[in-house]
Amino acid sequence: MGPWARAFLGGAGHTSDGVTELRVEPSLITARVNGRSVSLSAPPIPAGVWAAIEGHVTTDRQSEQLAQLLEHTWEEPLVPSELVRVGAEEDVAAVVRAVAEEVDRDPSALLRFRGYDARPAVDHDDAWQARGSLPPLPPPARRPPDSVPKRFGTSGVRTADGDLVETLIRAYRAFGD
Amino acid sequence: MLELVWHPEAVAFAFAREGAIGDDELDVLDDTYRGRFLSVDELAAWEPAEPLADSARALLHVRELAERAVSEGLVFPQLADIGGEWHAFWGATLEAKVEQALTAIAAAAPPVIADYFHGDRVATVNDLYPRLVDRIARDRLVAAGVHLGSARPFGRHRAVDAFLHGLTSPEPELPHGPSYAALERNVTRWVDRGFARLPRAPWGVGLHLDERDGRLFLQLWLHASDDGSVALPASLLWDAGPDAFRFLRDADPYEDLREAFARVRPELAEHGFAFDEEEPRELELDGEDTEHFLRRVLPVLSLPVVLPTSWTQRPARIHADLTARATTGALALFDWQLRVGDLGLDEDELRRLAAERAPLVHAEGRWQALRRDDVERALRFLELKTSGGGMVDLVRAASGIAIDEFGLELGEVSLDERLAGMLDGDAKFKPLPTPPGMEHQLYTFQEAGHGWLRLLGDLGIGCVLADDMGLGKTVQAIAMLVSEREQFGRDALGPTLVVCPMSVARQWLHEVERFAPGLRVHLHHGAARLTGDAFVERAHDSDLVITSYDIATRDVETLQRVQWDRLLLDEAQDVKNPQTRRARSLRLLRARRRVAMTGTPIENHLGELWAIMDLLNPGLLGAREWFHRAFVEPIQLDDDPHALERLRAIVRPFILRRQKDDPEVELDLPPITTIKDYCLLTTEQAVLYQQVVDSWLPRVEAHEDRFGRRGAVLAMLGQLKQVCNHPEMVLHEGGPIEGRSGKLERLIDLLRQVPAGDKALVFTQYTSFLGLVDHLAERLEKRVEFFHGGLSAGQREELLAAFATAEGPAVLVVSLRAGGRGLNLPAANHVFHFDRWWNPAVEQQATDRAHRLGQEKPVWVHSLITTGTLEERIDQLLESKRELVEKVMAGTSDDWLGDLDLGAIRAAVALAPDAYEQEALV
Repeated sequence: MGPWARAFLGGAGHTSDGVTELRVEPSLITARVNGRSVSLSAPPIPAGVWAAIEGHVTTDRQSEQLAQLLEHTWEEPLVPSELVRVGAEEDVAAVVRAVAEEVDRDPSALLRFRGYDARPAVDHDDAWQARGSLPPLPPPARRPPDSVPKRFGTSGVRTADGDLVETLIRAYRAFGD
Repeated sequence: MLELVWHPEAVAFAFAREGAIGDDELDVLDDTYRGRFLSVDELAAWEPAEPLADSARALLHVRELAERAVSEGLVFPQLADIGGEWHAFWGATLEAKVEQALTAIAAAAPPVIADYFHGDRVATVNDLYPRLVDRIARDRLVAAGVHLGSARPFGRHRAVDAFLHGLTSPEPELPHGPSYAALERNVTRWVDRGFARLPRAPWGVGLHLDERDGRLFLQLWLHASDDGSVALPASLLWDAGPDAFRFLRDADPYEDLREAFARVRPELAEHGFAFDEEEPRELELDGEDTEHFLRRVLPVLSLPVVLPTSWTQRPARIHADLTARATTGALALFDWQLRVGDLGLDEDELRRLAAERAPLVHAEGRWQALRRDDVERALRFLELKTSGGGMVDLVRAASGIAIDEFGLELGEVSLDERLAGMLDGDAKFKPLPTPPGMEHQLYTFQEAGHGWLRLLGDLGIGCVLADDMGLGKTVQAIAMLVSEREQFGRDALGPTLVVCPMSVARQWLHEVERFAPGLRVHLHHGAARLTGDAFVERAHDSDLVITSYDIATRDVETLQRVQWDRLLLDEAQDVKNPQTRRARSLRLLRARRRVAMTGTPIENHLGELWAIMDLLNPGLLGAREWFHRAFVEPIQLDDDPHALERLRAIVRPFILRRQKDDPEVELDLPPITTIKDYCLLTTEQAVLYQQVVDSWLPRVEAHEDRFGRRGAVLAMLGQLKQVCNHPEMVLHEGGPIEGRSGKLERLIDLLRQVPAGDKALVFTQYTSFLGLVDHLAERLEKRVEFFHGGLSAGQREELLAAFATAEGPAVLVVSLRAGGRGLNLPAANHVFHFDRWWNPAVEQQATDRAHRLGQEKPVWVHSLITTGTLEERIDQLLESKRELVEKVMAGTSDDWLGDLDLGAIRAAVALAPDAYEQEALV
């Protein structure tokens, strides 16, 4: 396994069995694992960074030098340190393995995920079609709407009638009405 | 099917793939689709009737997620400098569940939603989501009527006030002025720290009194042990589980509650409050329980107790009722009673409340909380209140100023008839006739003014006589000085110090000598003025000492040595700034009573009003800062009619103002007729005029900045006006005068028509008119003199005295700058404005020199206007644009001409083809 794929896989030792419909797009990876949807996302590396290092980008091999240049000079790791993961834990692990394998097969997949040469080839008719079912909204939080300022606590910023947090709590309570 | 695509410039593009759907037609997405753009606020409220395509369903799902997040309070306040402008935002809190939902929506959405984001659907929804959150949060707060901060902040918390207002306003832009950078750092640090750390601290328990539907409940709550303000009801734990508790503190709420409740249960049970042992929540309290809890349990309970927010956020106010009656000694006796609603509070009750853990009263059938600070300030009021006082104390008491600083609210005020009459202002005083020792018959309205001045003077109250210019304020004051000496005897009263601008000091002297020759008057002026003991002795031998503001400031130490009976400030608007040395010096003078006179309606200038009133009646309008807070801000910033009415009621007894057109002012002034006299330029004038325009216009146009251009415009206009007057005024060649100016010829014509025995005033702005005076006299065969700034004080006085006599000059040319204000020239009844000031107020003041008390003949006012020139155009402009006239009236000069735009300037100065004719040549 090449260095990019290894880095993407991290320490996970899982198989990619059951992974189908794997798509790697800018900022987004989607797949199905035994029929269940999985999505992974991370913000892209800014286009300006890609433009600045254009001469160093290789799409046909997993260049360690490129990975280091991004990480150390631009503080934009090629393999994102955190991914937003949607799906069951095991399914996500299987997709991570499948992505690593895909990157081994085609290193440009990782570059595409990270926003390089971003626009994916989309069939014009296909562009209008939903790629899946919209997710249900997450279950409501079982806490009062003024929990955020309460967690913040005293701000030390004085307002006409006390601390900023006391004034803002009035607004937060109105959000919940 | 309706498609929806999000654009990075914060707009959504809505369109139907089959055709156009809106008015704003734009081509996007390969020019095929026409639709309309929706702003974020439109999108937040968008309810399309058409069926939705997948793209629209996905983006509206983001909106639904944003709405849910706002309902849950998943937002944080944010301050940002965007392109040099500060904005207040609600930032979106990206909890894991929100991030996952956004990723899942992006994954499910059709690629077209990201058409403007290089196909990046995650970036698309991540861009849209926070914008919707901010907009929805704002809309909710606006709809709920939540107002935090102020749109026009003032005082120490300006930046945070503006920021809070920005968070609760429809638009995020903040006003310029406050410095936001430090606030931005503090808010960001607070938010970052709040998200980054979850304090580890166990929960304790406390009690909350909750008022719902008129019933009271005692609830058990969990309080964070490190911060008492962080608290949640125990019922939330039983009903919703531990989520909320774990969001706030890294602790086990079940375990903490069990332990803490076990500790306090016996104490509560001992007082008769037994909560459920398994799932303690709340107990309902009846009237008896409540009284027992608040009066006996609350003071001794060891755990925290929180009162209903309706009690603490709207604490009851303590009202002070005033009963005042007139007495022979101090004028008024006051009786103050404090209460909350129907419950009277005496000193003992207030002391008991001050000692309570929570000051609570049962008034108007319900429990009400008081602010401890209010209770303490009410006690301080009872210690310091005065039981009586003079007029100033009465006004302060009856208007609520006296109790305002103690945080009390004015309740009912009952005054006896005499005091009520005094506060009614000018309605109640009796007019006093002309005193026998005065050689001038007062008009009826002046008798009223005389009576008013005497009444307030006898009560020792400082007052302002603010009659219109020309209504004889000085004579009324002289009548007051004479009549009180006639009543009480000359030796019973000390001297009065009159302080006025130098230009009217001598006039004061003459009017006193003329109208009240019995008054002993001393003019304190000039290099040889008296000093030290000599001055003190002379002052004590005088009824009246007249001096100027400048001398009063310079000689304050000498003037301080005299105990004045009265300090009389004429043209008192000259002390409008309380910080000046002049105002501070006047405060140092010892005077038993004070009077100010001004022709300016000072009620309209709040700063001046405070400064003058505080000099006359110190403390009447409170401290300057308090006055600013209580009146200036509400009146000037918020147009608050109540504050204005309250202020008027307070100052009403102290100000008497009559205007010339008031029905009571029957001046019997003869009629006044205003005529515009048009004249033409001579050919020489026309050529000169055009030369001036040709040489100045390019210079005017070359100035790009407003101030530079302004100077050039005013210089050009000045030259043009002088050309219109007479070529010699700009050429200074010493050539012949006759026949070279259409306007001068017209003036001579008009002056020749003045009947024998009548006198005329000719006003001009230009001292270069001096070169025309001899010619004028020669042509008219009458004596013509010029009153201008170059004359010494003695020469001016001599000239004015001569003009007042029948034998004196028939025509007085007056430089508007030297004689536009303050002169009494009723000997003349023909007024000529030779050149235009283009400020109606200035011209009016000049006309009033003749049309004033003492004038017995009809007055004719002529304005000379050269046709086809800027004189005619600007006259038309003034006539046609009322708004502009008002703007001009607010100023005192014609500088506004310099602010006209280039097009208007060119049009104003252009010479019309018919501006001159051969007939104009004589």
